[in-house]
Amino acid sequence: MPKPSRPSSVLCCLAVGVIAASCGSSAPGGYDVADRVIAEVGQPAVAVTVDESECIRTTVVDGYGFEEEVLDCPNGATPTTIAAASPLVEGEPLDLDVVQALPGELPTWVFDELLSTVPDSAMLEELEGIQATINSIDAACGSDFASWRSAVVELGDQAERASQQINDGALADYVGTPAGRALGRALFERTVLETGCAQPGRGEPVNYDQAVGDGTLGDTSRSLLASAELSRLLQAAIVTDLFHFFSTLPNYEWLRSQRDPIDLVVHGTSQAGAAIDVALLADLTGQSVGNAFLPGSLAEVQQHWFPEVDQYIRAPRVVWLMGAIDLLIDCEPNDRPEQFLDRLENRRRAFANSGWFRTVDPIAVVLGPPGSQRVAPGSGDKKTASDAAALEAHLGEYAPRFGASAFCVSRGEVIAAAAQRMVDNGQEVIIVGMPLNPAAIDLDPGIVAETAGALETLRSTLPAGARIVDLSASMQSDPDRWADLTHLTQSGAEEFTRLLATAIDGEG
Amino acid sequence: MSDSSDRSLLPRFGLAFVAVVVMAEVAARLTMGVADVPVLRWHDETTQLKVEQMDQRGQVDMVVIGTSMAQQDIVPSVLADSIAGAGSPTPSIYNAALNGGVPVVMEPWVLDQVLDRLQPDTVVWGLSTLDLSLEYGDATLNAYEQALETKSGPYAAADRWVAKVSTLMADRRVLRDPNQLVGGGAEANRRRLAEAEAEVGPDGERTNFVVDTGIRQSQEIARRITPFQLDRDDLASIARTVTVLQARGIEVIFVELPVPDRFQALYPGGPDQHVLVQNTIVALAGELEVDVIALDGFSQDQSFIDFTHLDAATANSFSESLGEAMHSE
Repeated sequence: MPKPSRPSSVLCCLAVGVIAASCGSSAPGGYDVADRVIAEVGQPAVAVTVDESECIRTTVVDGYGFEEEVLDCPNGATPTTIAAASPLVEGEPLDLDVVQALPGELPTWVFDELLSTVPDSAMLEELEGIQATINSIDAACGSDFASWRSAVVELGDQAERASQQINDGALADYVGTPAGRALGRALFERTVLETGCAQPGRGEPVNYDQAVGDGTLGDTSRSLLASAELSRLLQAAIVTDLFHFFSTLPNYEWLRSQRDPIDLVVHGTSQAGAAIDVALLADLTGQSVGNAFLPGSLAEVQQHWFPEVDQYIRAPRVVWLMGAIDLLIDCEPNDRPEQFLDRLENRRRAFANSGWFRTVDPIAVVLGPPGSQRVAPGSGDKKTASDAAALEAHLGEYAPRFGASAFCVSRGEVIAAAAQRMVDNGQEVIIVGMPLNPAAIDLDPGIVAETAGALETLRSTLPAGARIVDLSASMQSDPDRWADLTHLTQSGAEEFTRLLATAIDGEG
Repeated sequence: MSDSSDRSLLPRFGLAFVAVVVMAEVAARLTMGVADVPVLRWHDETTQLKVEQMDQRGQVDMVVIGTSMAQQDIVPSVLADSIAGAGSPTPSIYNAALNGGVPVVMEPWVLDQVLDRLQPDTVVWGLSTLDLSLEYGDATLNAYEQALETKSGPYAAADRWVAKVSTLMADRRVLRDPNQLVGGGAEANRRRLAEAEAEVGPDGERTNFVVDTGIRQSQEIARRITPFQLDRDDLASIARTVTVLQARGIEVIFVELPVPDRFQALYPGGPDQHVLVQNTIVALAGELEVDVIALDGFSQDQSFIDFTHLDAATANSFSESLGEAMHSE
């Protein structure tokens, strides 16, 4: 009996006059069968969920200030959300895990309840003083500026004293415990976010120049930062809930101080920080240059950072550096974008409930008015020599992922969408393929072609007005140019900056 | 006067362009002939090797598909002898399963690549937990969809068409990178292809029997099934693929592949969740009117080299038992 034959995909497609992606490979549907099968056997998720309170919660903060919360649940079960399982009820004993994990804002009474967990000490008296001040802030918030300002200044003094006591060893057995972490969170919300504000949003906006001139903005930001710092100490965290450790804060300092336009801004991870000699790039291109790199932040975070930068400098030229880590090696999504957005939202909400500062840049509310001195446009620290230990650590981290890499499709979509927004803003977008460390090539020689291929794939998705400059095949012969797997040394940065300057103006 | 000059220039430019292209093509062919380096056009070396095997093999009676579990557990020569030994003619069988070949990968692989080459009467689909787990398979699908030979879209289709007649186009990624031609890159490509050749038997079966029951492997397998949920996309892919195969008169048989006790202990909900996998395969077979074969007695830890693949002796005995079961059904 003759076998049924099936034309190949291309022939099939040509036969109908088009070459289309959908030709050949699949019949439609199938989900009706899938749904009936799942309905028959049952989806197992319900059987393996447990209340979060049954899991052991551990929070790890990495070197970039991003946190990873690990829940170790019995039999690897999936935890149910706290909000659905265990709402907080006033008058009933507090579940400290619930206080830590509850999404949204805590009820205002939680802070008062948590004070009872603080050991009887001078610190408790200080915290009770803070509690009284918070009540004064709540009462004046949105209605009585003078009283509000006075109470906020008092809060700053109290928070600084309390922080000093903790730094001197007070509450050593309390900070970082579930109770301490819960109290830290509650304090942040009650002070920085003013969750007890009597008349939220009702305050008459201050005159910015006057608030700067009479010291109001300086005083209130000092208090706000002191409260955030005390919250951090109680939580035993390495970062406040306002900024990540290395990210954003240094950038805001130079971004806010610019008086003249920036022609070219560099974006990327710490790799971009190490790779660019800002002064040299400015000399070579004849343009003013700033480096707004964010350590530990791939495109999923960067897309949220670009609008922040644009508020201060909308550079007509954007140079976005990315390498094999961005495009091939580190594709797995993580929750850093959410953490970035959380902190960004906290900055925007700082003292916003009072309404006094609704016309003021939230960063000025947090950090105070910018100084009169211009801060040099950002540039990452450069190492002068290779660090063998750092290279080995990087290789250990990334080696298992080399050799089995493929283009990060979803990240490519994020990059293309971000590039589209910048192009829509009238910016020229240049995505630069970073060189590969010779050690990476030794580990996986195929990475050279894979990186070039990934950039080619990315190129096909970019909008008009965005282009790719592929320097991934450069600088492959000199290990001394690399401080570790991904970061160039000072001499490496100089060489790369020269290559970049030539390439971006030569390939346009 | 200038118009006629312009017109006379056009053919010259055209001829010059053609001459440059022809010279580049000749140079590319000479270069690739001298360099003799492998060029990867599929998503991994094993797949590329299997395509070459299938092109050489031509028509067969039966094809095995699935992940590396099916690739390792079902040995075509043993299965064929077993079927023949049970009184039937010796069938020709090829194992076209792939590393990471979950259903969403098998669908385009089987329908676009395997059927044309092998034109089987019967498709044996080895299925187990990893074929159905929501947490596993995206990486392979991603790689498959990005490979030169399997990428979708008009540009990719045109690229493949031109590559059939042009070495310059087919091997351009290697040609533009000297390291891929004569350097460490070429050596690495040769090494990877050699490793793949060592791990693929003459009938496409997997022959990697390196024992790995360590903690890292355990963690990796646990990650693939935690949390454990049935993947609707994979189930739908199976349904679509089987429907197409049946419409073309090809018989489909599901084979439930065994997993060891050490694998079952990794289910987040405990070993009982393996019953759900077995029930799912049976329910799917019922929906699609496909025979399903499940063999008892192959779940002992010592029969596996790791958490999913049988050792050589047990793969042979499993294939033999499978042949007997097929014959009896």
